[in-house]
Amino acid sequence: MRSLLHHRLAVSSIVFIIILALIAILAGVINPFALQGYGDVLAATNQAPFAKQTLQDNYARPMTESKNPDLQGFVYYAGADNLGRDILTRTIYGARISLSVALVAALVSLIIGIAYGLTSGYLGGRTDEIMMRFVDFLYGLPIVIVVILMQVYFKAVARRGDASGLVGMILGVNAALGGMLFVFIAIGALNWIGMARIARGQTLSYKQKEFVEAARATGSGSRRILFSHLMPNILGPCIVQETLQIPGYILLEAFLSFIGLGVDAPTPSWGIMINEGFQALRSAPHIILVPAAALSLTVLAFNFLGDGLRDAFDPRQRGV
Amino acid sequence: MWRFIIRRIIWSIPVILLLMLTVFSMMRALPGGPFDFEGDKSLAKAVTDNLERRHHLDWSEPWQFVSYVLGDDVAGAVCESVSSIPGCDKVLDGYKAGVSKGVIRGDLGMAMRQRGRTINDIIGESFPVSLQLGLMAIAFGLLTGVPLGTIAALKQNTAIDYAASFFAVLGLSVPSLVLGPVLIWIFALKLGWFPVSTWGAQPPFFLGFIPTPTKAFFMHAALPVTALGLALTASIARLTRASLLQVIGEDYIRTARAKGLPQATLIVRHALRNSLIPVVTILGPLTAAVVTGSFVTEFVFGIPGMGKHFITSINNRDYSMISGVTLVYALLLVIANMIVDIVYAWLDPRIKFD
Repeated sequence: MRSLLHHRLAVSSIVFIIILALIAILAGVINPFALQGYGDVLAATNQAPFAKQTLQDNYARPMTESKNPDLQGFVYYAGADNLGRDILTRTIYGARISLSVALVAALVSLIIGIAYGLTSGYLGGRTDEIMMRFVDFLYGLPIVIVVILMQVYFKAVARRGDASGLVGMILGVNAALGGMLFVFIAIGALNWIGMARIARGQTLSYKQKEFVEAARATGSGSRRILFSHLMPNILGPCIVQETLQIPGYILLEAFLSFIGLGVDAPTPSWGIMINEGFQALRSAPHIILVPAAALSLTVLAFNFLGDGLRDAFDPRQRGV
Repeated sequence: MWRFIIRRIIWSIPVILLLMLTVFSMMRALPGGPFDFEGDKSLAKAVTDNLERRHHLDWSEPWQFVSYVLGDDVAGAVCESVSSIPGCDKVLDGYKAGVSKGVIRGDLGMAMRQRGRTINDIIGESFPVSLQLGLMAIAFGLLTGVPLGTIAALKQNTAIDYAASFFAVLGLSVPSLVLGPVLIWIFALKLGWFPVSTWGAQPPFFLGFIPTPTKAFFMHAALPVTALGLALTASIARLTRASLLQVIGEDYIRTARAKGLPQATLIVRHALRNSLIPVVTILGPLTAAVVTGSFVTEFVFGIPGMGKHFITSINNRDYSMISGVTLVYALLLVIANMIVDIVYAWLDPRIKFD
């Protein structure tokens, strides 16, 4: 019964996440402006739907019609914020940020962590000790503070805007991503430490197994053993562990954006939207409602998904 | 045991030093310094130069770091004896006018943006408030999370268990930046039960951090502590439940039950004590979570704590302030992890440190 309940929750979470991902990918086509037939109006003014400001409509309540003559008849289903931007549209575009952070930060952390842990565990001996000492050392650093400082640094360098060459190219990519690149780097590059420990532990336990010995006896090289024998075995547990970290990444991005160190405005991140809604909590409480609900539901779904995956792959931990 | 503690302290020194060096060099690599103002607010060149000289910003960066960690007089003394080291001319020029006694002697320096105030002064004022908030949040998490997890484990696979587990995941998923505004909106703005913002206690505090327990203090603390502590409740409840379930299945619990111990004694004296060991281990990471959460909570509730200073000083490029606050946070986390390890050893007699 219990595992079934978990299973159901995990399945509904996957469905929720897939729908959210589809909404995020198709945001350009299925945002309220396009659906209500105002896509051409926006295209004519050359404005992105999430940045469309209508000053007649600032603080518009949910389900009210726009007072902008160009947008006659447009309904703000979730209301508009202090600049008259449609909250529903911004929340839909905000899903792009949160989901890309979840995906990219998890991938970066998984790749670096597995590469590091696999190398350390496979080589063993002195190398292993030094590599793990380094990980212990990084473990002692207060990660969030380092991430905040890195963000401040990146943002200041980006603001100066006179960089050329490689740095200029990176800054260009970052600007194209709405300031997300540095969030990816900061989150992913600092969270591989736990993954490296898990990957090393797994490698150590599989290294002793007969099939590795057999592979070596039949003349397989190190590369073949690493990639065809060890990697497939440790990948499963590592992915499960990484899934459990995803809610943390999403929350960290929202936190950074909330304190003004995340993506650059006007890119709509749920963290920025929650901050804007909080500023107007007394006069227009509806602004915070939709992004806050979206953030909480998404994190909830990833939490259930992680729990479900862990239950499926590691029965000993069931129900933890 | 003592050897273990001493080794932990020695091991944490390079971590803290590296962190200080990172913060120090990152802040100085940023474009713009603490005395750069634009437009009408800009200062005359002579004034800026004077201010920078006072804070030794004209020194080369390695010397600035030496002065920050060891003190102006140490940097000066080194340069007096061996003046051929690069950068020494500036040091000899300015060290007598210096003010810093160095972090090693407990002096975090002068604030660059709040004129005439020392960092020790500012942190001494704001840190107790943050500490009160954090400690109360952890206490809240333990006092609600352990009973919740215990009940869920004892009623395993009943509706109570499912409700508790669901609540726990929910608590993990609603971050303080959502929970804070929601609590304010419901309990302060709509119902008017609690004040909207600020903190209900002011220095001086008993023993440096214990406030006078007045009604105003608890009314002000109720919402921020809940916003910060609910996530802790959730993770502690999950862990307590899991580990209690594991312990209850052990042989020695069956033995204790067979010899006729009452259920309450069995759970509290035998099972719960051992099942709390994993709970103790996550208190280290949870302290880090409290620190992060306190930035948001202090901002949302307008609490004059250290998190507020951290965010504003980064934007102001107040070098000494950022370094000071980072150092305090790093020390806090290192000490918290050490206490966790010691309590761990005390709870679990099988663990021996050598």
